Amino acid sequence: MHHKLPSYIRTHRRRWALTQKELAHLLGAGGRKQVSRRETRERQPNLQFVIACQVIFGVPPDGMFPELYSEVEEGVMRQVRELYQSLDGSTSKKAQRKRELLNGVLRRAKERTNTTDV
Amino acid sequence: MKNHDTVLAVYASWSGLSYVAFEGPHILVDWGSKASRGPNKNVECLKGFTKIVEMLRPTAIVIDSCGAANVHRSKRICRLNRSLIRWSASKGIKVYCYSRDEVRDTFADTGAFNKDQIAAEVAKRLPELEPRRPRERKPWMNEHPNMGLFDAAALGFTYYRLFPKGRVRRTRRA
Repeated sequence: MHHKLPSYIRTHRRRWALTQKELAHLLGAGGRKQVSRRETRERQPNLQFVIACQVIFGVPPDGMFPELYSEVEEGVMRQVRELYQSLDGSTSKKAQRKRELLNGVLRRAKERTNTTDV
Repeated sequence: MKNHDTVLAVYASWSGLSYVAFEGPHILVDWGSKASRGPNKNVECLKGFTKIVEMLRPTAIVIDSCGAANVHRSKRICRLNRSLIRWSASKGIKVYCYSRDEVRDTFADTGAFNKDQIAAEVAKRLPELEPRRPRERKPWMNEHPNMGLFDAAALGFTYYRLFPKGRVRRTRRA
C-alpha cells in the first residue's frame, strides 16, 4: 500500500478511539506530549516507540512511519550500492556471499517500490 | 486520480468546520472538527483549514456546493466555502464541489435519504466514526456539531462514486 502521510500514529490512535494519554500509557512513553510530538513530527520515534507501536496496532514500521522508513531505506541503499561497487572484480567466496546479500537487498527494495506504486 | 491520493472532504456548519481525510473510498486517515465561536467564525475556520491542509497535504479537496439550485446555505457559509476554494486554488489543490442532491444519490441505493439515515450509513461504512454519530435529531433539537463530520464523509463518498476511474470533472463554483 502506498502511504501519503509521514506518520500514521494519529490515524491508528484515533481509529481505536484512544486518547494521546492512553496511548502514551500503553507505549510506556511518559506523558501525552511524547505521543503528540511524534504525531506532529516534532520528534522522530525511537526504536522502543516503533516496536511498541507494532505490538499495539500490528502495523509494521514501513506502514506506521513511511517517511522515516523511506529516509532510512534511501541511506541504506546508497551504502549498499557503494559496497556493491567496491566488490567489483573480487571473486573470493566471501565476496560472493556478500553479493548474494546485496542482491537480496536490492531485489526486496525493488519489490517494495513495485507494490507501493500499484 | 489514484486510490491512495489523500482526499480531504470539508463541511462547514453553524458550529465550525468538519473534515474527513481519505486515502481511498474505505481508508480513513484523519477526521475532526474545528469549532469556532464569535464574530470571526470564517476567519477561524479558514485558519483551521489551512492548518489541516498543511498537516495532511491533500491532492483534492471536496466541498459542498452552495451555488447549485435548491441549496439553502447561509450567506456566511457560502462566503466561507468561496474562501476555502480560493485558498485551495492558490495552493494548486484541485477542488470538487457536490450538491446535496449528488450526495443523496450516492446513498440512494441504501435507502438513506435524510441526514440521520446518511450518517448511519456512513458509520456503517466507516466504523471509526460510529462513536461520534449523534442520536437522531428531533424537530425541536439543534443539529449536533458532530453531524458535520458525517456530512463531510458523505461528500467524500460522493467524490469516490463520481470518480471511480480517474475521470476529471470541472470544478463548479460553490
